[in-house]
Amino acid sequence: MDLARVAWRNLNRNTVRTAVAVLAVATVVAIVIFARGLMEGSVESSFGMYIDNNFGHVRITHDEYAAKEALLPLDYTIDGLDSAGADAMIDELEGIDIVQGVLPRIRFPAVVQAADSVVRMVGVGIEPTREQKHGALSGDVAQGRMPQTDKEILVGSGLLHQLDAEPGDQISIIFSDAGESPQEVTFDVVGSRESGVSGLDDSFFYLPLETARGILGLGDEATEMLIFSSQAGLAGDLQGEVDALLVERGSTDYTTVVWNQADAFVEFFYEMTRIMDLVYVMFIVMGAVVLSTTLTMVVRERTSEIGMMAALGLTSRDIVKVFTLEGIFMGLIGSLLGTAAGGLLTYHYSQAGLYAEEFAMLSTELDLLIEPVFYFAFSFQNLMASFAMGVVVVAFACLYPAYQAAKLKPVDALHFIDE
Amino acid sequence: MALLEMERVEKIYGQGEVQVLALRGVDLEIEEGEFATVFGPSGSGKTTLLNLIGALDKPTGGTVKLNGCEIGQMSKNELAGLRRKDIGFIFQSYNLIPVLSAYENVEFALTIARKDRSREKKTQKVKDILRRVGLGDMMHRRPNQLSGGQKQRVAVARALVKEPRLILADEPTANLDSETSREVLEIMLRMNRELNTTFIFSTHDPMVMEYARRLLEIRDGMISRDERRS
Repeated sequence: MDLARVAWRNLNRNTVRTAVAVLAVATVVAIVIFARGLMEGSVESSFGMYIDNNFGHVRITHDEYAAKEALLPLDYTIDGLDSAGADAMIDELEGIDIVQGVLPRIRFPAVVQAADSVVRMVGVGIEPTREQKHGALSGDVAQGRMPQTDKEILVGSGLLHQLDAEPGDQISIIFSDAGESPQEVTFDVVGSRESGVSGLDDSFFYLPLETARGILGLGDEATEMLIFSSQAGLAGDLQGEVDALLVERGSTDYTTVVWNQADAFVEFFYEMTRIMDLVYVMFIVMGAVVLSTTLTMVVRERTSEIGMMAALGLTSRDIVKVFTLEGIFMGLIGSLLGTAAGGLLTYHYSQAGLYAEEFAMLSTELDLLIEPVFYFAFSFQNLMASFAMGVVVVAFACLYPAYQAAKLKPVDALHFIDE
Repeated sequence: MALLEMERVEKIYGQGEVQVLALRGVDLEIEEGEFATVFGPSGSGKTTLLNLIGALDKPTGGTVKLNGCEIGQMSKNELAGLRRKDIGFIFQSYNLIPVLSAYENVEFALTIARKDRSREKKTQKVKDILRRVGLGDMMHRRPNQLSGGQKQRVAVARALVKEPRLILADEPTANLDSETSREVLEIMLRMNRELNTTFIFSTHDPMVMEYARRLLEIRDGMISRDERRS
């Protein structure tokens, strides 16, 4: 009969109290898993929208373009390192180890004269082959296909609706070229994009980069380059490598920005996810306090038994071990149950998603690139981290009551019986 | 050398103006194999004396030597080690661990004693001692399934299993009826004879005094009578 078995059996002494303590830990761990799943899911899906559509992991633009971006100017383009052309620059960027891909793009404002109104939109020149590998565009094609050749365009589903058009139709689009001369070009609509984000679906159309260059009067240029690494977390390192290349080549007119610092909302939201880490810890501490209080009561109730154990020859360290193990067992069971419950819930919402109607209205009003359906991130890493955090914090919380038990003098503890 | 040697032992409780002199210069020697009883009125110092003999507390003055070791000079862990190896305790209210069976309660004491034994020998030892105290067929019952007398027998087995040189029994019959008390005392006397284990009782019970071969009366913190019987 060792100390661990004694501690394990002690859980049966007051099953209601044990159940309450275990439930507290389980609830807290489940909440943490749920909240982390939501936040990570938001980061993946919502920030993913920003990463895939606007910034990549790191975005390069001309300094002046970044300052006047709202106007989508064509005066400040990227024309390569030493003005050797955007395509050559892409090759050099892709030569950096950490770089997985580069998406060159040209954005420009445009309008369409509908029956009784003017519909404003943004055209985006893309390289279809590259967009198949990175970004979200190719995955969002709801009808038809990606534009491949000369006068083909992919149009947001909401925009198509506004124009009362559908794939197979033709649309005449009016815009200004780089020399600020008005132009009108008729395109074949070859597909529609359904991203679920009104900010994208209602305003954007996509055409091949070469076509964009041709109709806008641009050469081997792009207004922006989205650079991707293997994961968003490496964006800081990626920026460092890209900046080093730009400095080495004397391209001081270009500026880089990391996805999570490129937009005030994204920056705020990203900071929030970091603050949430603190909230998770506080949640776990709350559960640990319940367990610590329970164990303090247990120590009080078992004072005479502690005296008996000391009389039998148990050292203070052994007594700490008995009570800490008892707490750890409760923490383990609670964390296991919480992990199972939190895991199941998170898995459900990772498949079904959680629709937030209020958020849908807000994201439309504020023009946020965020889906109103939150898909939770289900990961074993989340489950394991939350489980481990539950067990470790609970183990530390048990130390105080265990120490209280150990510091009792055997003679006083035994006396406790007589009083 | 005597198993226990006490010289001019004093124990004072409290600090400053509120001090209680529980023991006033006690001199006592206990030889190996004795079956002695400490008796006296409440507040006379019986429990204090047993606490010191059992290395549960340290004296304020004088020396207490158990098995040649002076407990006043020992650290907390050394005292725990002494209790673990050389002293067994039997309490008035049994103090068994309620979630363990009779067998496990006894086995627990043996595990704590850390005396090298194989698992088989340990099992044999525990079963043997439980049979000796008459609980051979009840060893898997938990304390709440045992009578008061049976619980105290488990406590006796728990104290004896590690083969200590000294067993201290604080009012061991206080919660037992006279017939059960006699049974328990008979067991302890038999163990004393068979294993030469030294027993020291603290009691008010005349029946315990009847069994004792040495009577130590304590009054006002001093041993007022020390009578040996054949």
